[in-house]
Amino acid sequence: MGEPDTKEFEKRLETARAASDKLKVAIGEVLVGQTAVVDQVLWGLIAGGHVLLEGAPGLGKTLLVRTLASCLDLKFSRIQFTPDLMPSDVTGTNVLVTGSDGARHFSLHKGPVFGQIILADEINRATPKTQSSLLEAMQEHACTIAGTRHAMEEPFFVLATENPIEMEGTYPLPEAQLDRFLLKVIVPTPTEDEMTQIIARTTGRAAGDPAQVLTREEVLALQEACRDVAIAEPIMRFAARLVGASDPASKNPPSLVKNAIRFGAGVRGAQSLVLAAKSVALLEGRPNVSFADIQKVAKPVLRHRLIRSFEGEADGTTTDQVVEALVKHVPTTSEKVARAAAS
Amino acid sequence: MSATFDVLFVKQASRVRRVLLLRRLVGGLGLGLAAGGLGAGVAWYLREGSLRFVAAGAIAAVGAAVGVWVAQRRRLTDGDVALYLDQRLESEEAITTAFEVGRSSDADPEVKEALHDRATTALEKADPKAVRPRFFAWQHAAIPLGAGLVALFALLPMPPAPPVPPPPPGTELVKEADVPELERIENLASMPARDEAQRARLDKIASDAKSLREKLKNGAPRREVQAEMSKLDDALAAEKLSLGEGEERKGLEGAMAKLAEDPNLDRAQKALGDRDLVEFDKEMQRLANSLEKKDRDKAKQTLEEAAEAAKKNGAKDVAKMLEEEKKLLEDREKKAEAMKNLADATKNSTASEQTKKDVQSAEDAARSGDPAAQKKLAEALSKAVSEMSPEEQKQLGENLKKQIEQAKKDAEKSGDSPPDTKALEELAKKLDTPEGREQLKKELEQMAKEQPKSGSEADRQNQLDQAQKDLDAAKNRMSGGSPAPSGSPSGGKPGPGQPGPGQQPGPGQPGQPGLGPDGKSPPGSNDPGGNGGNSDPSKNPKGPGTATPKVDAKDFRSRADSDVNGGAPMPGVHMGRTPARPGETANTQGSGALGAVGPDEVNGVSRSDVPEEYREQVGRYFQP
Repeated sequence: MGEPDTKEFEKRLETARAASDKLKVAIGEVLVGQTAVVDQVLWGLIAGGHVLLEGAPGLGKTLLVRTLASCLDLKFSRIQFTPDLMPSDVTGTNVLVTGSDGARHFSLHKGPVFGQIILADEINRATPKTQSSLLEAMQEHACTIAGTRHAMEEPFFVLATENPIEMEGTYPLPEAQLDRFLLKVIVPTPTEDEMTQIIARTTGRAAGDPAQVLTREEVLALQEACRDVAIAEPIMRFAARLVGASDPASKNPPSLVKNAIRFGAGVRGAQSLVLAAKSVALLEGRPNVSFADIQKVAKPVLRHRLIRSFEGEADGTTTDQVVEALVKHVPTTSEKVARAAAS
Repeated sequence: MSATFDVLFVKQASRVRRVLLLRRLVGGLGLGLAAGGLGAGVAWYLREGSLRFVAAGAIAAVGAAVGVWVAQRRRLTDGDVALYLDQRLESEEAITTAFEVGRSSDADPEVKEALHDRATTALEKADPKAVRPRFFAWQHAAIPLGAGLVALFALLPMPPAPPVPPPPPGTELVKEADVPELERIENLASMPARDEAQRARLDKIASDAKSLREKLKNGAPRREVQAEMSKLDDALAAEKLSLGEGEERKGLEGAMAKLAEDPNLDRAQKALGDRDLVEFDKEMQRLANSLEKKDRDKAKQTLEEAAEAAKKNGAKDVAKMLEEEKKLLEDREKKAEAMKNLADATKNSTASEQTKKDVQSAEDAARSGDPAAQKKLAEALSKAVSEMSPEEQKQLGENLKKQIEQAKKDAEKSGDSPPDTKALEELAKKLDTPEGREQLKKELEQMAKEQPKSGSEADRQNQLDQAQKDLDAAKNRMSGGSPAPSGSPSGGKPGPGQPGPGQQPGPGQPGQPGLGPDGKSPPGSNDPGGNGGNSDPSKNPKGPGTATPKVDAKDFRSRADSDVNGGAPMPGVHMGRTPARPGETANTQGSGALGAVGPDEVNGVSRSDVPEEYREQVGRYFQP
């Protein structure tokens, strides 16, 4: 057994950065603007988590997911969630079929969840029962049909969308289920320039599908490399402090947390912070996570994990404001290091 | 590459730590120097010249030491230094992660190497100026400030010493090797006592006086001495009131009631009520000299009845005193009668006119009953007998015999009992012989000089009075000459009054009347009764009854415990300065000083002059 190639990790980092750049370029050819959204979706993909996209209709949520699926050599499924959608419509079911020998037997008819990139469109329109059938697959990367457990093919990446405007006839996701999403990405309204460009692209002749950029293996390698990104103990501690401070019952929370939050983020929030930060570091070609990475991912990671109090809702305080306050409130290093560094 | 990282990291870490240590050391020194400057200021204020520099130096050194201690306490660990370097070099925590991963044996060598590469690159590219912490801190500005303060207080002249505050009043030491007044009070131990109880009390007073004298010999705080003296004074006052106290009270009142029946004994009765036995004795002397025979007989009988009443009511001591006074009255009566006859005989003799005139005026004065006038009569008679020739003296004897005969005839005529002429006969017999005449002359001279014999109780009270006077004199001296209020219940009453330093020739104390040897105020006193005034005649040239000269009021000092009412206190009232103790009331004797000095305070109403039928009501008024 020879000496390990010490430059191997550097190469993987370089590859990851290059893949990320290629992917962004490919998506950018179809989707106008929304670079921050694309970045965040890529963080989720690389970190092996799922992403909840929230935005008004027509902002390109579905297009983004479809484009991403096209760029990757992965099986794509789309589930349009409606109130009458049944769990079996999501997971699939056993159907009675007659064999060539004339004998009848049950055969598994897999549902759309057995894809690799799943677009769960307007997830809040289905009943909680149906929602939970997807959420189980998200958490376990497996699905149980008629007592038989079926593992999902990796990578398994769910992108759910939510429409925050039309709330009538919807079933908002329970907090416990929201927690399963690594990131919640807010899709902003495009700028005037972006809007002009969108009009130009979509009102002419339809463009072809984007080219495939990454293979399944490459995606899996990226996910593996993400886990290898190093993180120092003070940075993990910072993530823990950040999550701890989001709890209004903690020792010294910011006043906004005290006033506007009923429940803070949990352990899963801290794990998600670090995973997302690792993917950020990887996509930027760094072998380690920095404090800035944690701060960068804080909003998409924590915004759907904070439960506002009645006062917070009445005041119109958003969870994004609370996360901003948390980032400002929690120091990255100890006081003595800060004092020494400040001098 | 890992080794390079370690070397670079250690180098940078030690540089950072060194600067931080130095910064805190200098900062501590600065603050210490500033505090030292203030310490020098304090030393300057306290006029501790040499301490200024020591204080400043010591506090500055302590400050520096504290600075080092703080630096050690806040010393950055390797992890902290890594974070510090990351922040200064903006290396996105590459150094921290490399340091952490480098310590971990589980880390992937590929990752480790990649991290070390990045961290080493960051450290190699680091600008030393960017890495080095800032040396100067705000604490450093205290160095010139502290040095300036030290220099200021070193150059400033020392402040003047503040005046030494006077010691609290009464705490100064009084030391006197010789206190003759207390020595005289000690003599009370040898004074004949009325009974065993009085013996014990007198011994206690004497021993207290002795211990006080010993204390004064070694020195004691003034207020302690004054308190001891006040206790002694109170004990003496209580002793003076001890006759007829307690169980004998009823007997005393019975005797007083008897004495009140004879108008001639009015003053004697009052004196007995006041327990002023000296005055009582004097009154008896006056009675012996001044009253008619039948009045004297009546007075004797009243005295006998009073003694009887006292005895009947259990006041044996009072009865004994009254019987003694009755006996003395009889003796004095005989002597006074003899003197009177001798004066008459002298007036009928062949003595010179001037002598007869002197005898006549002395006899007239003696009719008042005043013992002093009686002595003057004895002096005049002595002089007259001395001037007579032996023949004239014989003639005087003859005259006396004739007078005896005449007196007997007069008694027969009036049907009275024959007079007791034994003394006169003896006198006439003495005038017959030269030796007898010489003896008579001597006796008369002695009568003129000596104080008349008084009763044993009066003697005792005289001695107690004298002890109180001595104590007052000592008190005055100890309290720096200011007049002390008298603790004697008899003090300040009309008559002999409370004798003061004016007894001695020279100026008396204001408010303390002088007293001549005869117990009256000396000439020049504004207060014939002895209640106060200037005893020095030279200070009041206009004579008695005129205003005293103006006194410089600046010299006067008010006294919080002075007597509010300068008049005579009620019988049984205690005027001593005794601090009250908790638990003591008008009718409950406490265990403290009040119990020791104020036996008259307890149930005082029942022994006062308040009529018996009102006593209960008055007593209720004084109930706490």
